[in-house]
Amino acid sequence: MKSTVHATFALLAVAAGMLTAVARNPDPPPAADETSAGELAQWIHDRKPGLLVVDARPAQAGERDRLPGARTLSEVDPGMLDAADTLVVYADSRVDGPAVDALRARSGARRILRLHGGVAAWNEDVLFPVLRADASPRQQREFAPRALLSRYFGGSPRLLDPGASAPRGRSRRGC
Amino acid sequence: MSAPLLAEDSLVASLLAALVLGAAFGFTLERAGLGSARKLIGQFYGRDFAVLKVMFSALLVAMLGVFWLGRFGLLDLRAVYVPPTFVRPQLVGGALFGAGLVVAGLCPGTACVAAATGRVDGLFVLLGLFGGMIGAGLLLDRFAMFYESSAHGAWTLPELLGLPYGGVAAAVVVLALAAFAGAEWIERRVR
Repeated sequence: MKSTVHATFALLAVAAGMLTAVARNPDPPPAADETSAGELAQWIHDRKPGLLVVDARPAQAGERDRLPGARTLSEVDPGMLDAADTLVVYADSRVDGPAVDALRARSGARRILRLHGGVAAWNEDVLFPVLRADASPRQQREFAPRALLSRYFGGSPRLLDPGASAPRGRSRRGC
Repeated sequence: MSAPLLAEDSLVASLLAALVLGAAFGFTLERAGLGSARKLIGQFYGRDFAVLKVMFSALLVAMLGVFWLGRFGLLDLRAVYVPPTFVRPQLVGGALFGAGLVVAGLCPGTACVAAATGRVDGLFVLLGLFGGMIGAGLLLDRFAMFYESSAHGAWTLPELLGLPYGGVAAAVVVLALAAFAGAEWIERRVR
């Protein structure tokens, strides 16, 4: 009985462990109707034909940090929607769903995608990606295309120097 | 809704959570028999690897739990505190901790459990532990440069190795299972 329980737990651990290797990343992946900030940046950079990006946030928000080439809802006319093959809409979590539904009703676009993580993900992943100062040469090489893309969109890749971060506290957290 | 569910600035809630988690941790350690110094010291003689098995099992559960809770959107990993790495002071501290564990037969958590269950050795280890904490606090300024040296910030194995988080987690699972099998083999040989 005891050995059966041990074997069961070992099998569960192996299964969960091997699946982590397949999943690779602990962050939730983009849903089927979402695209990542990195993928969208590459599409905009490559001038993907038929791409239309729509900023469905309130007008004031759009004035501050609108994505390159994005149109506000009021700027989108039926002609644009008809010409679009891929429509990416971003908003905030409160209006994301209704905004997508409204566009879906108006649009003949084959693909309507939401931006995974919204503008925050765009800023974090595309405009201001971070490379650790102690990164290995391979990590630096892998970061190079992201740095180029960041500069292309007017952002600036950041170098995190862990040694220059906030001085060590005299109390500790965690165990 | 996703974890962590407690606001970081909520002191009362944090202390209550610490009390509940600490009691659960202590109860688990006691149930695993780790309140006994004889049990702990058994692993240094190859007789009893209960400590390795319990701690590595807990590590696996936590690691896989964090990974999959994050993956399913139930845990915001960016809100999880990662203690900063200071390579040299932590190597020295780890060696000192290990030496203390061998000499005392108890680590801080198990010393609390031993003391709470009326074991005198646990009480003395706790006294030594608090003495060491006070002494280190008083002398800390003299070692400030060393204490803050070789800083790497919040540094994780995937970042160090340049490998995907999931790949490292899978490797740790394989390592744990190999360690369990090796421990069982050594136990059988020694007995």
